[in-house]
Amino acid sequence: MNAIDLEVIYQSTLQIARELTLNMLRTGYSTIIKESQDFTFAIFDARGRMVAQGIPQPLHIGPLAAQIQEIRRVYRGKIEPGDTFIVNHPYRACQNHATDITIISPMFVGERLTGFIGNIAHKPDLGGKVPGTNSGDATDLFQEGLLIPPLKLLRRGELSTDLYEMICANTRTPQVTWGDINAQANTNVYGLETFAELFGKYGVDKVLSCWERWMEICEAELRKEIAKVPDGLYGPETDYIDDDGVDLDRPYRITASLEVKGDTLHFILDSDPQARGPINLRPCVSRNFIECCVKMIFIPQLPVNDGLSRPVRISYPPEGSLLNPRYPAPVNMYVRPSQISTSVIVRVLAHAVPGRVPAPGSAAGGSLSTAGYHPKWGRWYSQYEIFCGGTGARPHGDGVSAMDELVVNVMNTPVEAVESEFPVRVECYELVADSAGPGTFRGGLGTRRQWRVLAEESVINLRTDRFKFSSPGVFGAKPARPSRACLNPATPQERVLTSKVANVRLKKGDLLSWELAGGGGWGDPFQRDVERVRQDVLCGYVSLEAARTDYGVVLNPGDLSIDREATARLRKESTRS
Amino acid sequence: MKLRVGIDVGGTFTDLTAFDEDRGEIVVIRKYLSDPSQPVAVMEKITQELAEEFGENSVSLILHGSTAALNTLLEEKGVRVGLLTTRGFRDVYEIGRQWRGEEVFNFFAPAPKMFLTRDRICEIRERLDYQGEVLDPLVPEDVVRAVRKLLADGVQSIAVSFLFSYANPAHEIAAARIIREMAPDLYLSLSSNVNPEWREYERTASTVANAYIGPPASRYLHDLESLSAKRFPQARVLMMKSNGGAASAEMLSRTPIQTIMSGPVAGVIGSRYLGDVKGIENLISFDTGGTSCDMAVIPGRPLFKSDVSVGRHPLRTYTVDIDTIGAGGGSIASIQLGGVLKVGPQSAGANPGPACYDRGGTDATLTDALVVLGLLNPRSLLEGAMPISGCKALDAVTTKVADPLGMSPVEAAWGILTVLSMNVMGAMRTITIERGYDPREFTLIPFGGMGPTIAGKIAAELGIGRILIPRDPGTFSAYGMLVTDVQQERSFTRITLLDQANPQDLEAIYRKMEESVMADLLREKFSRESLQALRYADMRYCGQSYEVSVPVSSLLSPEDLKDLGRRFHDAHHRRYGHMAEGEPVEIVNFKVTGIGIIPKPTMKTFTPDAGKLPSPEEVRPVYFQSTAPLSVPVYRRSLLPPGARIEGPAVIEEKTSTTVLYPGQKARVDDYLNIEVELEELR
Repeated sequence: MNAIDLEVIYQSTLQIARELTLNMLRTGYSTIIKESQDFTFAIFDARGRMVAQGIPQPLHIGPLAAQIQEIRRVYRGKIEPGDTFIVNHPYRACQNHATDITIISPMFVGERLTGFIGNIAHKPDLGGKVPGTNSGDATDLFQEGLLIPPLKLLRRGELSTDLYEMICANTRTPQVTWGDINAQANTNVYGLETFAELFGKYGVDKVLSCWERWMEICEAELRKEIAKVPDGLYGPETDYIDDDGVDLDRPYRITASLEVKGDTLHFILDSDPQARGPINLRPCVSRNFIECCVKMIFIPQLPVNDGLSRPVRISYPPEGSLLNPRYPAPVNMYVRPSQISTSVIVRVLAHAVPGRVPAPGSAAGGSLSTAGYHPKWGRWYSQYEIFCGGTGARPHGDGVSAMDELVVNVMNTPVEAVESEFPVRVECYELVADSAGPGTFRGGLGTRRQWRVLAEESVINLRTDRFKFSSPGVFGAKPARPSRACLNPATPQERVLTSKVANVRLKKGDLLSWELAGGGGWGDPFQRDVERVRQDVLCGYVSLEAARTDYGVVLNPGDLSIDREATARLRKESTRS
Repeated sequence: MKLRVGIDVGGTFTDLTAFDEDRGEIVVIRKYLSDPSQPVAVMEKITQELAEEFGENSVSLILHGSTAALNTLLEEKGVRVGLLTTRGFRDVYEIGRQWRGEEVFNFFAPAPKMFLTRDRICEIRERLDYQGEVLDPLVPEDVVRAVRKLLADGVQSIAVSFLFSYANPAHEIAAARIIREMAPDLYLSLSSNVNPEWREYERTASTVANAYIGPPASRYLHDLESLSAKRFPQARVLMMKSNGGAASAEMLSRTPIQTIMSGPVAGVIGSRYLGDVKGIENLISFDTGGTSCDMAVIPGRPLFKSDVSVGRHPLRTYTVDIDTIGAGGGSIASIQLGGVLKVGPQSAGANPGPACYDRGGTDATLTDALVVLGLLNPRSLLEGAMPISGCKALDAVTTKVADPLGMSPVEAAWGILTVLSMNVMGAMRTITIERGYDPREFTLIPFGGMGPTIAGKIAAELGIGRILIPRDPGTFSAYGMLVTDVQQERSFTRITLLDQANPQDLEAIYRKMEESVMADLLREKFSRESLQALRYADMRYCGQSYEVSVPVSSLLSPEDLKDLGRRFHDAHHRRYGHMAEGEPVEIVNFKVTGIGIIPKPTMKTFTPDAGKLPSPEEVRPVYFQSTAPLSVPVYRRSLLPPGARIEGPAVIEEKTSTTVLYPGQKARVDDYLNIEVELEELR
């Protein structure tokens, strides 16, 4: 195949993936689709290998490949043109959590199966013990919403009304939930038509061999890059999740190491046994973000497809572990172990390919949901906000404040929108000085937001992490400052909260404060350029005190000029000790 | 003689179009080299030339579009800015929306751009609630202290952005008064002027950007006005705004940010006018020059957007909805990782330019590929005014693309055109499909130097049935300025549940905004009869956080409100494929556009003179695929009479562009001397 067809056909495939995404954004029903963009698309060949993907949330695309394999196994010989499948079961094949629903449509040219279009979209509610389904103190899978094994949603183009009735009867928001499922299925059908045109224009065999070739290109280029890394064992690196939301005193360990051999990577994951609470993580999910990290580091300019998986092997701990849970362990808070696993993977990679990997970010991202009775509008309200801490430092510069580098990519809610819609007053929204992990390059800062309750009463749920642990940084950095949340800070009524709390009651006048951890640092902070430290103090990112203790830089309190002598002495002492 | 003059200042060239209102004809079309370091210089030259040629009182109206403000932002050449914020919210600007956007797979995603450092952001004690009621009064001493600190720090411009200032600007106005007393010469940018709408980050960012470009931009506008007053005392000088309207220097002095997209927008206005004249409803304007390609979907009326991003810095300012990709004559072809051919977004620009310009460029560009294929004249461009080297083009395509890929130069050149067309086609599909339209229902209007050359291929790939190529496509943007009106806008955020609203209250809000906007236009010496006001409401279903803009008529009875609700449901259905009639609906922003109508020039028509197709300038071999060439007639556009019909393959050359008719495409020169192309079949 010549270079021009190769480019034109593959770009056309990517363009279709893009159009599927736009179509979904346009016709999706819930705010989860339209604003959080919590969905994703991918194209597969007939053997179920990923060929291309649509952009919004790559982090939850992992289950699709496993789900297609499961459909091929269960429906062997019974997959027909016009069929579309639905599945959300975390343990039949794989799924992030049950509120993510997958819709998969096989592509046919005549009677020949040529590939699959698959998409996953988060649902606002699918039954279960709490509104929104995902309960922070769930102790088994059945509390986490309706479970759907692989079933035909459309059979030869005809919608299963049985499934429609069944699903609508099992959600608190039937109109929105079904509206989204409908948009998912219709978008796949749109994709089938567009692919039919592509196959018609270039011929089936040419398109399929273009896909095949692109997977080979990605594989080959990745192998070339891996081969440059010295063979050896990197790690292990270990980190912890605060708790599982059920047993609040017990942290959970996650460990990773990496064996590089020739042109292959072998990640070895280990963890504590599975948790009672919903912080367990299915293997296909961790495989996905490990592959994302590998792509971002080794071949950032190439597309994502099955070729990337081929040089990467992953070993999991035995069944019954946090990272390899046994059915029916709950999984709805999968983002917490995802963030912490990413953090250890990034640290392992930082040692294997120094200079191309940032320090781990805060891994502190999470959500606050609030519900209560709106005194002015005279109805119940429910408010949902997502925040993230700072990114890790880079090998050549500081991290970015209030941003996540991988797992979370969701906008914050403007203060003016919050106050216009909900009975709260936001008292501040600001960067937290000294929250970043100190290093030669420091992490990005976390943020603080405070809410004053104006309703008579409201109830909050916090789903986050990093209150007990924080990003340790890499290459001699100091750890970042952990997150923290409390009620009525600096008053006699002060009450410190844990990172996963459910149904805390607040009264009118209460102040809730949540500050998020910063990202990890890169390198020894005592090596940080003195002028940079001074700039940080000038701008208020670092306090005068922290400049001295964390960075060994002494500034004159009056004009913030550098006390060179004291600084040199302090930094020298530290190298001696 | 009464001249209406359009001047489009781009980064490389400045285009001039002068229209004689008495004769209904364009009398001057000229291109000048721009000098970004001295933006006024080229204007001086143009006005001087016009005065010498046509006399002191010849010019009645100068319409001007410029990329100057945009470039100030992109090149970060604005002034030193300070920012005052509400206490507790110093970091609204730096935090942004915690959104990586497209940089999903980038471990090194950059922070959102900032035009100042945090030490120049000062907190002021003051606080309003969401209805604009004062919770904490403004503390004047805080303002005084902050301004002293900022002045000592050397700022030339101060932005003020307090929470909820859109609901009540009193605190910003009070702060402004204090600042003016302390430093009368400082440029001031208030969020309640720049963008009185909710969502504090976007409003603050726009206000800071406005402060950043304010001093140079308003200086430029005033220089321009005095320049014109000197040469043409009778002339009115107007600047294009991003929303396609025009405004005087006075109207723009506090909000120069409104001109940020002033460059590309005129082409859209011109396309709409052309469509109106021809009675064509659905258009896609397609402006391609050397480096970039601007596209806009125009389904009946131009579409607008209020959020744009300039070099990773968001701006909320009302603009015509235009998408830009890096594709043009200078786009560089290269072999990339995996042995794949890519074209653009890097461009050889004007200097050194494509290899065939023979100014030292060695990269193979789209222009070089088109020369190799024979689609462009291999000896000279611009009707002979610019000699080029066909050999250099062939060399570049051969060594940079053909040899490494093991193909013939013609295959490689055709590949370059194919890959670039596909990039453009993808973007065009994206902008139509995303908005709920089917590109096949549109007519393509290509302009800019490169648009008419590649439009035929792109239209065929997209299944577009008709192309309309205006006269002088290379300077069409300057032409677009000649058919614009003066516009002034007001917007106002107040979240209003439609069910519970009193129509008289809403009517009063609109009336008040209309009066204020009309007062502005009357000051611009428009008569009342030439004024018009349009009302819009940005609406949504409760709980959504995006809005759909709906036109509003008078609101006198509950029936009018119901009607507005219905129109919102319809608009939502059009844009998003569904509606929810049972759901409560709310108005978020009230908007009024005041229009000072400038009479449109009447275009001269020509009587068709069919059958007299002049003989071609030459017949040359042209490749329309990678195999054998066809013998193709080359015509000179200026010699084509109205009514002339040409069947593709053919090439039509003119001073500012080259039109290519691909095999099977049929062209006709219409009564206005536009070229209409019908594609043989819709694929």
